[in-house]
Amino acid sequence: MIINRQNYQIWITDYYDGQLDDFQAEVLMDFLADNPDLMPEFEEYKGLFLSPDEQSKFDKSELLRTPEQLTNEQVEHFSIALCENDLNEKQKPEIIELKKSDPRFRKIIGIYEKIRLEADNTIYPEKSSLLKIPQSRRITGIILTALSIAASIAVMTGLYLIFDQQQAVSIDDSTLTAYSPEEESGQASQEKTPRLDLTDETPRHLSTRTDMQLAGTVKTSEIMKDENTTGQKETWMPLSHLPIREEINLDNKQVPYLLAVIKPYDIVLPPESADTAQMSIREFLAYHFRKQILDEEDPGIEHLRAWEIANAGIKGVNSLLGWNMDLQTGETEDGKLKNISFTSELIKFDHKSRKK
Amino acid sequence: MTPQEYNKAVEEYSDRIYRFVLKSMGDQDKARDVVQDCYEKLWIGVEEIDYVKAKAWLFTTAHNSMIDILRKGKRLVSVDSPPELMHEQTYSDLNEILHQCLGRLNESWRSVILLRDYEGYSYSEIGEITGQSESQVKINIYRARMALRKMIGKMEVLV
Repeated sequence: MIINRQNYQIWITDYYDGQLDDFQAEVLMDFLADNPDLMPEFEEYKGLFLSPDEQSKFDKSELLRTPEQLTNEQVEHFSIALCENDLNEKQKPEIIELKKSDPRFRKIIGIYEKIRLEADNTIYPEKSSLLKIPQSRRITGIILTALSIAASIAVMTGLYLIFDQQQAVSIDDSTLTAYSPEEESGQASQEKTPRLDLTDETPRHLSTRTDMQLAGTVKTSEIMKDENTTGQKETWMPLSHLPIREEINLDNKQVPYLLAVIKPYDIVLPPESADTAQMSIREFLAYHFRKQILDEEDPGIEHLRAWEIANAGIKGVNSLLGWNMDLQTGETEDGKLKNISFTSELIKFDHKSRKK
Repeated sequence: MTPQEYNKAVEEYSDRIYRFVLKSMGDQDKARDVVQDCYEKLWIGVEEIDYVKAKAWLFTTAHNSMIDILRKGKRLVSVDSPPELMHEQTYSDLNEILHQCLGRLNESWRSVILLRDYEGYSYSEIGEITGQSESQVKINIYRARMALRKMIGKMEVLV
């Protein structure tokens, strides 16, 4: 601000208040020298400002306090503040010093240091009920479990149907003829490899593909224990319970030898399929799985689907454990699978079938 | 928060929440309900709540649920002068005495003391959880500690 005749009074007031620095004070003095008529007014201002009375003094000692004069509530407050770490850097050393020197502080601070709550070992008893398993993993787990059970049932059912539901068939020895590939090819061989020769007299059910596919190998060395036999040979024979005979060259004499007696198995094909006798093992298993496990009145021979196996597993678990699970399928108008819904006492979900 | 983080929050905080509510309410069944309710709400908002803030969120929700239940049951006690401890009872250690005394504090004092001593929360964090200002939390903690000391009675035996 430039000093002039309109604002010079402000400059004079600031001068006596001590608000002007040396340069500004020199500017004011230069202005008054240039305007000597204002000098008396400058002198008058000097008498308007009061100066402190240095004679009057208050006895401060009356106000001073010692720690002993602190009330109990004040001591408690500072003690708590120390324990709560609420004191600043200047206060903290002072209170710590008082703790050492003042018995009241020592006692109260000691108490507050001790009455802090300590957490006990309380444990929430139902923590497992709060945990969440992702639904996808839960469904996958259920399906996998059901499929595992169902697969086990399916395998056992298949084995049962193949090996246990058999009827003994007596076949005359004449239906069996010795057969040796070596002999047929003109190679001299005294060992003959018997092979089931299916003739017209062979029961019809043995002519199916199933029968032939289930042929296996049996080492005759594991069956014949007679020391008179010569050599060991591997003989192909059907894995059926049929009497197996062969002739063995014993001391240059052909001796008929009963190799083993095994029973034939009997696969009872569904009537509609038996006519054609073209049912594969997979179709056969699918048919009997639906008929005997799923109790379907009209079991088809189309390939088993995953949900059918799962359904069998669920039925098995229900009967075994008394649960009440249920797997239902919805179909579209054209008979295609639309959705699969699962219900139980614990969970329930409805899963739409993926469209291909 | 992912489902995995949610489960981690269950493992890490459910005991603490349960302990806080149990000590505040003194009722196991209600404390269980509050914890269940908190985690149900956490699961509902699982995609919105950050795992880092889950602990404070759970304590806040638990405190609010607890207040609601206490208000419905009209169990809120507003006492400025806490009752004296029953001296005819015998206690095995100081911590047991303190927990007995804790149940006699009014709810707002009890909550701040529990959050301060059990969880080590600062005044501002306790303020966020309980809905009080920082200075109010500080006052309540000071008053609660003084009340506990008075309830315990003759402190010479403890020093």
